[in-house]
Order: sequence, then C-alpha cells, then structure tokens
Amino acid sequence: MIKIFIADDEFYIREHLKNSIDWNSYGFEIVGDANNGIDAYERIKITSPDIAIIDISMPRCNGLELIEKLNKENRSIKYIILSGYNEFEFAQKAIKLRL
Amino acid sequence: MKQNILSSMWFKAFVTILSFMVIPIIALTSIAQKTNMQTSLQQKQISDLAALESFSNTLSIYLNGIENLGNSIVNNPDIQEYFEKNNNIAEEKGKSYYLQIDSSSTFNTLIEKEPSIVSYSFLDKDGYLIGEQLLDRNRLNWFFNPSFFEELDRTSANWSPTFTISNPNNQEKQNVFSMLYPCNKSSNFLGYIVLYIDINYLNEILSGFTDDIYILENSNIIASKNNVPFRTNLFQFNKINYSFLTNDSSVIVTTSSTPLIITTQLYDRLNFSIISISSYEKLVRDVAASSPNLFAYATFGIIFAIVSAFLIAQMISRPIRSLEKVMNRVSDGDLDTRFRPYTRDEVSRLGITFNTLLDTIQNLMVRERNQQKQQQHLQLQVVQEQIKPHFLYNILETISGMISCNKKEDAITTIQNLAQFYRMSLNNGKDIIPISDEILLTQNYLNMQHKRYIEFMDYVLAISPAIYRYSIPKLTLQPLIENAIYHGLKENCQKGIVCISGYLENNRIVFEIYDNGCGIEEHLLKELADNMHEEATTLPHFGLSSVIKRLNIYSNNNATLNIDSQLNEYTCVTISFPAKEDS
Repeated sequence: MIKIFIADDEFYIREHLKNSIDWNSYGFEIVGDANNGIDAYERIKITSPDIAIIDISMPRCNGLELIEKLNKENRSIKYIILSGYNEFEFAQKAIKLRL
Repeated sequence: MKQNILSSMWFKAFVTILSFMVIPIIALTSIAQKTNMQTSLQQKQISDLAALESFSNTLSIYLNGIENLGNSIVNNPDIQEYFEKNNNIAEEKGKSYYLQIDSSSTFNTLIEKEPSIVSYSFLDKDGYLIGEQLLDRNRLNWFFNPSFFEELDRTSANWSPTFTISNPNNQEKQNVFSMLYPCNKSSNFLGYIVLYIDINYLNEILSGFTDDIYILENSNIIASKNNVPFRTNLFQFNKINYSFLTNDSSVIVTTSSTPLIITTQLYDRLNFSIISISSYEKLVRDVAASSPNLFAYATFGIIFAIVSAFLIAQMISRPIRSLEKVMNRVSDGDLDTRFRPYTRDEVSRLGITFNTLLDTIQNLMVRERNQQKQQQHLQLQVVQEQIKPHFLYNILETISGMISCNKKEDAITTIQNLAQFYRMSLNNGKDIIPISDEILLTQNYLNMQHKRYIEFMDYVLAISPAIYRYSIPKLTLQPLIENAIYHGLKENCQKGIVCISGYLENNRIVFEIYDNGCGIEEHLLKELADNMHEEATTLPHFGLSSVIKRLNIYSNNNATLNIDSQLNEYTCVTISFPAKEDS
C-alpha cells in the first residue's frame, strides 16, 4: 500500500480529500493528517508517507517551508501541492526552484 | 466681460484729472483776460483824459493869446482915446450919437494877426455899442443885455457863451463865442472891447487830435472833429444822456447800437464840457489782438492737460487692467496664469493675494483630484474585496467538503451565509450602508470562516442595537476580522476567539476587534502605526490602511484607528468615527 499524508489548515478540505476518493481500492492508505506545518512535519517523520498532499498556505510553517525542511532530510517523498487561487503563481515558482 | 468705456476706471480717472487741470486753466485764462481788459480800460481812460487835457491846454494857450491881444488892444492909447472921446460926446449928445459913427474899419490892423477873430465891437461903460455898422445891432443888444452886463468883471477878460452874429447887409450868420476885455485908464472904466471868435476855429484845433473829441455847451455839441452841425443835442446825436456823464472820469454807456467809452472833462473857463467817445468793442478787439498769447498758452495748457490726464489715467488703470486680464483668463479656466506685479501699490498687493488664492485653489484641486483617485482606487479595492474570487473558491471547496462528509445542515447554512454575504456586500452598488446591514454581513462572514477554521476559532459578536440606525462604509469590519483570523488566531495553531464589539460613545461609533491570537511584535506594531496612512499594500496588514482611508473620506478626516497588542497574548484593533444617521 502506498502511504499518503494530508496537510491542510481547513478541516473540511482534509475530510473532503479523505472521503472523495476510495483510496484503499486504488492501493493507497491515508496514514495521517495535520492542520498546520509544524504538526505535519512531526507526523510525517513518524508515519513516513510515500506521498504528501500539502496545502501551500498553512499557519506557522507554510507548505513550501515544510517541503524544504523534509527535503533536507533526504526523504523519498513525492509531494502534491494544493494551492488557492491567488497562491498558484507562488507554487509554480517553488516547483521551478525544485524545492 | 464686455464693459462700457464710460464706466471704466480709466475713463473716470481721465475725466477727473482732466477736470482738475482744465478748469483752473480756463478760470485763470478768463481772470487774466478780464484783468487785461480792465487794465486796458483804465489805460484807455488815462489816455483819453490825457488827450482831453492836452486839448484843454491847447485851447487855454489859444485863449491866453486872445486875452493878451485884448490886453494889448485896451492899453493902446489910440483905443483909450477913442473910448474917452466917444464917451464924452455921447454924454453931451446922447447914446444915439454912436449910431452915426462907424468903428468897423478903424482898428482892423489890431486883429489882422488872428484869423480866428471874425469881428470886433466896442461897448461903452454903460454897455452901448459904439459905432457898430457891420453886425446886426438888435441881435447884439439882445445878447449884451443889462443883466449880462452887470455880471461882467471890469478888471480882466470875460468869456461869453456861444451865440450867432449876422451881417444885416447880406444876412450872413456866423456862430461865435466872444471875449469882452475891459478898458481902464487911470482906474477910470471906459468900456469893453469885444472880440468875436469863430466857433469853427475850435474844429480846427480838434483836427490836430486823433481822438474823437466833442465840445459841449450844456448838452449841445458846439464843436467836433467830424463837424457835427452846431448845437446838435448829444442825445439826439448818439443817444447818450448827458446827465449820466461825470466830469474827469470815464463811463461805459450802452447805446442802442454799441457800448461806448465816454470820458468827460469840464473846461470851466468857457463853461464847456469836452468829451471823448470811443468804441468799447474796438477796445475789446484791440485787447484781443494784443493778447493772442494768452489764448495760445491756454490752448497749449489744455493740450498738455489732455496728454497728462491720458498718461496718468493709463498709469493708474494699467495694473488694474492687467489684474482684470489675469482674472478673466482664470475665469476662462486657465488656473496656471499668475499676476505679475510691477509696482508695490495696493493693486499689486491685491494681485499677490489673488495669486495666493489661486495657489490655494490649485492645491485644493490637486488634493481633491488625488482624493477622488484614491476614492476610486479604494472603491475598486472594496469591489475586489466583495467578490474575492479565492474566497469564493475556498468556501465552495469547504461546502463541497461538508457535503462529502455528509454535513448537510452545515453545507446548507454555509451556502445561505455565502448567498447573504454576497447579496449584502453587493447591495445595489451603494458604498454607505446602515450598521445593521454591516453587522449582518459580518455575521455571515464570521459564520463561514468559523466553519472553515473550526479547529482554530470561535467568535463573539456584541453590538449595541443603539448604533444600528447609523451608517458605515460597507465592508469596514471584514478586513479587520480577516486580519484577526489569519494573522492572529491561525498563526497560534490553537483554538482562539475573535470578539467584535460595537457601541456609541460621545456621539461616535466605536468598534473593537479583539483576538487572543499570537499578537504582534513590538517593532512590527510600530511599523504598522507609522505606515497606517501610506499606500502600504505590500504589508501583510494592507487592509488597515484601506479601512482608515475609507473611514476618513466618509467622516471628513475624523476617523481614528488604534492597534493595541501583546505578543502571544492578544491584538485589539479599535476604530472610531462620528455617528451619522443613514440617509
């Protein structure tokens, strides 16, 4: 099973992600979630997911900062970035920088 | 503005100055002319009197000559003997004896030297004519009557009035006056020698004078330069009433035709009046002819006055006209034009004040334009705030999440909140709304945000109903609440609370937006306070400047915004503005 972690500051967005797809039938497993960057970092370290779905704007430590931090630890995690309407350009820039 | 030249300041100044200069010139010229005339009249009188005096002297010299002649005749022993002889014979034979003798040719040699003497007679001591055969004796006796005889002086010459003598042989008449000279021998009075002087001789003397001189006896002309008939009445001659004339002076007499200057002198030796008549108009003409310079000077003076008045009026009105031109340009819309003062007078000061006024107006216009621009910009921001696409997108995502979590009630409520939020915030494009509507809007917004960040926030909305009826710029509270949620509560990562309270204080509306989130660091708080009124859209709290600017425009710079905060404790934003009822 491929392990998935979800980080978003909105409760209903996280729940929506979890409920909208039948992850198990596609061979995925949700191993954890968090509503801020710091909690997410701690929990990712424990759960070691294969894929992390990360909202770009989160309190305390935003999505890009979290990914940067995790990359420094050479973890083989694939990231899916969630961005709002006005954060899209910011996200594109981040990908170009290979964060 | 087109204006009548007669009502212009230039014209008034011109007329006033011209009047002040021309009236004295005309008055002085007129006075000088009158003085000149009077002086000329006085001179004329003096010269007329001098002419009369000269004539009198000439006449006196002549009369003295006649008297001397008379004196020499009566002292002639032959004459004295003739008187004595005839007196004695007449005493014996009676006075009729005189009729038998002829004295006419006896002493012709005595008077041959004097052609003016036309004849002579002898009168005895009782006044009887001795041997008069040449002249009409009756006429002479009538003239030399006893009463005339009694008044005669027996020691010196006597002069008679004029009368007429005639020759009985040829009836020839002659107008004369006579001198009766007494003949005395050893204090013995013998009679008179009478010398008849032709009146025409006076005309001859007069012909040597240029003046128009008349000799009057009583009021009749007896001699004149232009040979007026003997004894013509002066009044008949030229309508001059003799009684108006005064001796040794001049009068101006207005006759039927022209005014005349008449100078009179009494010649009392013959009881004559000598008058000189000259035309007053001629004198006026002579004076005018002798003083053309006066009029020339007056004309030059008036021309000088016109030129001076024109130049002075120009000088006075030029600054005002220049100011007027500037004002006209301004009224035509050219606000960049300015009055350039050339002098330091009142008009220039007025112009400088006008320039200051224009500067102020221009500054005000620039400020007004900037304010309008800012207002437009802010309105655009509000519109953007109203429709905030990412908010809409996010909230729809949230609703979608609710539905997928089977939170049907929450989804419906949120959709209703969303619908009401947009309906209120669009509000037919009105920018100013009642506070009650703003509260409703805020309530919907808070409900939606509460659903989204249910893990981070709770809220309390405590509004005094007393302020519902007042008005407020739409969406004033929303940016402040958004700041409290995103920068206060969410950053704390634990559940906090937003408290919004609103009340009336000293006729001002006060709103407090409190959150117990992460607070603001001191240096950031200071920076925020400093940049509050700048276009600090790059700051994370850009909503603050937009809120205070819109409130200031709404309340005429009478709004305040304060931020109070303690790091990791709380943030409280307070806004206050005058309470204005919703119109």
